[in-house]
Amino acid sequence: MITHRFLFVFVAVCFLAGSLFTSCNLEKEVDIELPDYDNQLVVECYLEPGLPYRLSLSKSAAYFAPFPDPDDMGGFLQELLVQGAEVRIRHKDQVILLENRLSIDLENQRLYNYTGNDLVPLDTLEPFFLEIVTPEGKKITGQTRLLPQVPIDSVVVEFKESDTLARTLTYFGDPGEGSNFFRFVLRHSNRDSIPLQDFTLDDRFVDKSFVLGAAYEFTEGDTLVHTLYHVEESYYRFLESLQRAVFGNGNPFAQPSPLTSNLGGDAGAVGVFTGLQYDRLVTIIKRR
Amino acid sequence: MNFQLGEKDRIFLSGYFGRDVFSFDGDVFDFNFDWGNATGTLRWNHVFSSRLFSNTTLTFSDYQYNIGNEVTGFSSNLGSNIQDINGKADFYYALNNQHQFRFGAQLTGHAFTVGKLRAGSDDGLVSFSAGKDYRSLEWGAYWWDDWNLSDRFALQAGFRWSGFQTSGNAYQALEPRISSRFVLTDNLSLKASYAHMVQYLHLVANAGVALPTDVWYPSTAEVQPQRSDQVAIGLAWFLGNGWSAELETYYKQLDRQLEFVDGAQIFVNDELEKEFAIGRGRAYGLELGLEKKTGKLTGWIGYTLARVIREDFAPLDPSRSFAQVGQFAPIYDRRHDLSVVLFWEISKRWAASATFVYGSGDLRWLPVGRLTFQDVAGTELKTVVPVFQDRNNFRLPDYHRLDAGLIWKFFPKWGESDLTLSLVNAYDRRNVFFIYLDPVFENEDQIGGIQIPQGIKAKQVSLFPVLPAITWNFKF
Repeated sequence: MITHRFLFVFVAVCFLAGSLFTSCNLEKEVDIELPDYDNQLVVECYLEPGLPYRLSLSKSAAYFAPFPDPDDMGGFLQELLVQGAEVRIRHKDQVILLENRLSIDLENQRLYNYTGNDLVPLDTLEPFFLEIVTPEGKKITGQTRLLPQVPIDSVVVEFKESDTLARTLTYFGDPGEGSNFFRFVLRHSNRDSIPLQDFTLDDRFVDKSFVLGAAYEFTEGDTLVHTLYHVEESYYRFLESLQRAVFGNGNPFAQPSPLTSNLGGDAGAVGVFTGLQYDRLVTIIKRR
Repeated sequence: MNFQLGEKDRIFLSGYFGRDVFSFDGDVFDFNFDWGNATGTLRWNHVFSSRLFSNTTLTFSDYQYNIGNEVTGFSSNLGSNIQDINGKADFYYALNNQHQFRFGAQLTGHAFTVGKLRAGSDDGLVSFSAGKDYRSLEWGAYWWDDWNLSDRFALQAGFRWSGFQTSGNAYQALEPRISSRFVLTDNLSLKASYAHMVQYLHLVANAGVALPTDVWYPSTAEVQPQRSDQVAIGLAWFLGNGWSAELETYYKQLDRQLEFVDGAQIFVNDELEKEFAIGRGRAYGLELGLEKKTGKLTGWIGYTLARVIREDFAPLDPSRSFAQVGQFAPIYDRRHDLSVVLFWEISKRWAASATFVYGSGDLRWLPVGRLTFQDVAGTELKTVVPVFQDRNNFRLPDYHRLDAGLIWKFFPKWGESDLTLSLVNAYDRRNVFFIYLDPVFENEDQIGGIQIPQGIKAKQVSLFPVLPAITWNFKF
């Protein structure tokens, strides 16, 4: 005769055996259907005194769209870059036409598809105006000016006691006169190195001078490049939003962020048009 | 545990401790996530007379949430916890069969740690910590009048006077509420209610697609208490043979709602208030319920069709951004919610139970586009910059689950006992715990030393498969 106890044990064993047959892999690839997205034009134009006017005009893609094949360089660039636009930069009475031709900055691994023949003047007083007419007849506009350079006062190298590792302390003064915004980049001197530090800061909580420290991670003989950009607030906001967009995409402790572009016009473009003034110091780590 | 101290006094004592641990080892990141709650409750029930009795309750709870992760020699430990100590006294007084009163008061001490972080490199060279502690006091006193004015009409009305104090800031509010029931026929009643409510603790949720991160935050000088006004109207229908049905619709206006600003940094942030935006919202919906209380098969079915809308948000810190224009839905806007609970008394010794839940997936904020950003010379070229547009633009897959149980009752000499065999998630539904986005680098495709991904894949992580369990309950 089947007892209640036997019946319960039998069912329990069946339950347990059945659950063992299920997979324990709790991770799987899924298809995600996102809302429709119209590709946007992406503008990057940095006006650097002494260098030619140059601009990259590219387009964004749907988030899950396949990437262009890098083995097919022609196809890659065609898919990424937007050709056939009219690009002008106006400064004082001068109108600089940026021709639709590819220029590659091999040293810095950057490419531009609109380049002018003139050099950017060192003029911190008069603004620069950008006007792009897209192949579809839409407009992208922007305005910027060169800010005065803020010099790096000094870079101090400190070694840990009884250790071979050193750190750097970068000092610079706040120029005062309203709000000021900065970008600081610290990297090794070799060209393809990824920055050790790259961040934006403002002078809201600083009285007179800044000191920016790095970790004890350098050894004797390292060559470091310290670059301090004095940037416009709109560029600072754009960089902040870009960092937060990248950081917030998948980080459980950060909220996503749309990009805060400083461009206008009816083309719905994103990107940045900004003057670039910086001071740069090269430091070789050595024990004094 | 339940102790009878005499004819007029009873003491109830209960405790709970639970801790869940989740470990994820992914291609992009890995972490350990543990969370849990410890609670203890002591309740004293005292009968003053046949018309008046009271319940005095002391409660302690400690909720902790902790995430640890390690990335290339750098480890961090993030957490939040809330400790509550609560004392309350509730009185019930029956003036007569038609008229009763309830009144009481409560006092709660909250201790929060928001965004606690300890982080450092494994070699001990880099070390830092962040986070903020808050202590606050919440109190309330209420009066509730329940009056059957006639055979057909009953009215309940009352108020709650509440207050909150933290870091030198104090708030108080009067929260009136009223409800009524009108008997239309012998088995059909009409109900209507209104309530004004104030909430002093805010729950702010991160909208990113990764691990859900909620932060509890107290009202402060800048973050004022949330307010809501709700009206509801409904029908209750007694169908006979133990069956009853209810239908209710509600509308709720919400003020001083909290959201995170664009790009908010939730942890490692001693100034979390600067990451908040404040706005308003509304919620409305329809609730249907069907219940069977008698017979061998009992249970209920509940369904809610709901919508929550938020709008007019502005950052507390004007230097921060909240780009969303117009209305949007918060992440917990759940359109459909269904619960089915069944209990089948098979025989004196055997019973079976089943619970099925279904809910629309929560919303998340995903990027709709991506762009390549060269940046200035000497910086890192970014091949995938996500483009975010409207908030909470993606609904996670629906959540559904069946839990089933088989109960074997036996009757030892010392009392009653049963063994329950249960299957949680009986049909092994892989509900989404979180999703992560993973760029795919199948080849070493490079341009100028920069690696270009082939695509981006979305991967879903679930919390648990089918889980068998045995529970032993006993009474002595």
